[in-house]
Amino acid sequence: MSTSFREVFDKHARYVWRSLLGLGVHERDVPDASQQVFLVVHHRLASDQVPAGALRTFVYGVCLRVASDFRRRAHRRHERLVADPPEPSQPADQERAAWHRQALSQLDAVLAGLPAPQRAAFVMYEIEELSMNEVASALGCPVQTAYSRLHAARRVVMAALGDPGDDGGGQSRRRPGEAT
Amino acid sequence: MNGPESPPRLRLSAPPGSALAAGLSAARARGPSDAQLRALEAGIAVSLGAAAAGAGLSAARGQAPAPAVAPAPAVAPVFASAGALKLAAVFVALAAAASGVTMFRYRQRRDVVQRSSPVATAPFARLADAPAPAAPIAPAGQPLPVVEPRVTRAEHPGRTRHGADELALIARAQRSLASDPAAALALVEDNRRLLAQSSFAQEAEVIAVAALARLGRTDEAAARAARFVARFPDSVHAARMRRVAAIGRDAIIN
Repeated sequence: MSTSFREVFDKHARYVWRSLLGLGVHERDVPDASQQVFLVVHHRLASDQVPAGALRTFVYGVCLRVASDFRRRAHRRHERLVADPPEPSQPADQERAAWHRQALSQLDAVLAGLPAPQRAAFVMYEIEELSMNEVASALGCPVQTAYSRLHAARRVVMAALGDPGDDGGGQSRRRPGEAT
Repeated sequence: MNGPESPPRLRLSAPPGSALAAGLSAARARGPSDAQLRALEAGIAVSLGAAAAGAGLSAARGQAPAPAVAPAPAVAPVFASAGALKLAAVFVALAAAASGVTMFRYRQRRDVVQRSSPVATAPFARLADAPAPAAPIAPAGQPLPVVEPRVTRAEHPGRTRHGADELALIARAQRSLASDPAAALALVEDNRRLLAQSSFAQEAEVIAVAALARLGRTDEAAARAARFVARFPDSVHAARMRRVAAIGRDAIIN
């Protein structure tokens, strides 16, 4: 299978960007982190170190490492990290958009409290919707381990963001006409 | 190699209206804007360096590399005056800008076998990052892993217009930029209207500016770069066009 860097970029740029956000890289750092991911990918492609057919998980694995580097750096200047949550790029009516932003920032806050491997499993499976085999391969762990990480993360997330009827998150939640 | 059965995604099983459903759907929807994406692309191109973007990427894919940018030695001796430095600076600025254009070429060549190849990036990253002044165009002592500037056939704009899309036009113009800037300029000019309406309008202008500079028409290059900046202030190429415009002005003053 021949793969050009150009193709890889076109195919994965949005996904890399989004994943880095999900993995806890601050919005401000995401452009730099994305660039770093692609420089690594370029280097590996050029030196033929990318296993055929495993590009997606390979790219995701790079994201994981880069995100971890950036998170570590961010800890040293955490006082600057309280900022508005990133806005979804979709146009939406304001009330609904506000609700989504609020929910997203709650989700991000919960994810931020998870151990990194659990968070990674959750983001890859629930947001990027990789298969569990892909998740395990990107994490470099057995599939069973990936499952247990995912389940642990799901328990925490569901407890925090719960059902509409529950008050699991301990916060009052508005629910304007939600159509999904 | 199947594990236990995959659980249904939370996004689908979460109660509609829950913060969970909203948060997950918002998390899936976020991402870079088109402008951010282009800026990222340009940043990567600059980091890889103009020539590396051309030679490295093509070599990595087993292509005959097309001339990337600046085969400047052929051009430089022509300008022996103080203006030569300014002109060199224009090229340096353009080298980085053109790398962005170069990347677009790869969209159309997708059928080539990948081959391993070392990618020399460092000198080009420096070249691309160099603030405008002084740097001679060819990095001293560093053989460009470029690229025999291929002696192009005369470009026939008329034929191109029928034969290929805008991207192919841009690719051809970019390819002949090094060896025959006049042809590159003609190609872009003859197809001006077509290109202006395409999504490669900016790249076409960048090529035109580069071609003018190569032809020694520094004033025109600077003026056109200035118009570019006025028209596309947010373009990923704007910073470099701004630099070219500024350098050109200085060249005129001195």
